[in-house]
Amino acid sequence: MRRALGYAAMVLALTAVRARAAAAQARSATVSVTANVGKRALVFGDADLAFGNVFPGVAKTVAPTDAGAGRFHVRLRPGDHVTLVFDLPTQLVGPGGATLPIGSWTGLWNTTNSTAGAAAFTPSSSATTIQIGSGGGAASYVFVGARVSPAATQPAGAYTATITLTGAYAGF
Amino acid sequence: MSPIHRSLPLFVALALAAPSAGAQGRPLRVTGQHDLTFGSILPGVAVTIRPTDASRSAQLQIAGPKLAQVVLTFSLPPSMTSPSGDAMPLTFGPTSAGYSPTGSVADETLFDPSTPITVTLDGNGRGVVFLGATLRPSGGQRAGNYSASLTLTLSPSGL
Repeated sequence: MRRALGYAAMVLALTAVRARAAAAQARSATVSVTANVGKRALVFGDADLAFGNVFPGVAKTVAPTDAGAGRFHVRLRPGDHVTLVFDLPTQLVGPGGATLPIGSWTGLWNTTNSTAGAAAFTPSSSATTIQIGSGGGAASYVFVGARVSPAATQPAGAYTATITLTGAYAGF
Repeated sequence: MSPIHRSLPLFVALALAAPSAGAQGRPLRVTGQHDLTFGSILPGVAVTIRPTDASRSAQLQIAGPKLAQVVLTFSLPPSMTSPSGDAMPLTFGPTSAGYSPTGSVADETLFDPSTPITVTLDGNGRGVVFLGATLRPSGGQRAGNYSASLTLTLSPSGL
C-alpha cells in the first residue's frame, strides 16, 4: 500500500513538473505597426493627356514636353513639400468596350508652368511616390506623358481613361 | 521505513523529470526585431506591405529546441489609432505573414496570421516570422501619427 502511494506521488510529481515546463515555455513578443498620414494636398488637373489621332498597329508616344501632355498643378505654400501618388490606367476603353493599351509613363515637375529645366520622374501605379517642392512659389506643376499601342485590328472610335494624382504635404 | 526509503519516490520523480526538461532543450523565446513600418502615407490611398518586404515588414525571431514544432498565434488589431483617437483600418490576408527557418525573405512560407499555425524550427533551433498588412486610410483620414501593437505568442506544439 505504501509502495503504491509512493508511485502515485511520483506520477503526480512528474505531471506537475511537465505542466510547469509547458506553461513556462509559452512566450510572446510585441512589435508596433506605425504610419504617418499626411494632410491631403490641393491638386488640380489642368490639361488632359491627349494622343489625338492614332492608327491601328502604330504605337504613339506623347512626351511630357509635348503639347498633348497631361498637366496638373499642386497648390503650395513657400517651403512646402508634397508627396504624390499616381493611379494610372493600363488601358483606355473605347467603342463596345474595346481596349487600347497605355504605358511607358514619363513625367516632369517644375516650380513654374514650364517644362524648361523641369525635373524628370517616372509616374507609377505601384504607389511610387515623388516629392516636389514649391521653390518659393504658390504652386508646382506636373507634366505627364505616355505611349499607346493600338492593335492592327483596333476598332475605330474614341478611347478614354482616367489618371488620378493624389498629393499629401510632406514633413507633417 | 527509514528516512532514506521515504524520500525515494520524490528522488525518482525528479530523476525522471530532469531528462524530460533536458529533452525540451532551451526554452522557447521570441524577440521583436523590426516594427511593421508604413512610413508616410496619403489619405485615400491604400498601402500593402508584403511579408517579403525586408525593410518594412515586422520581423520576430524565434529560438528554442532544435527542430521543435511551435504554434504561432498572432493577436492582431483591426485598426491603428492616433493620439487624438482617430482610427485607420488595418487588414491581414491569407499571405500577410511568412515564416522562414533561415531568416531569409527569399524562402518564406506564407500564411494567414489570423489563424494559428505550426512551424518547425531549424537545426539550430531558430526561425523568423515576417508580418505585413494592408492599411486603408479613408479619403478624409485625419493627418497624424498612427500606431498599434501586434503580439506573437509561441507555444509548444501538441499541448
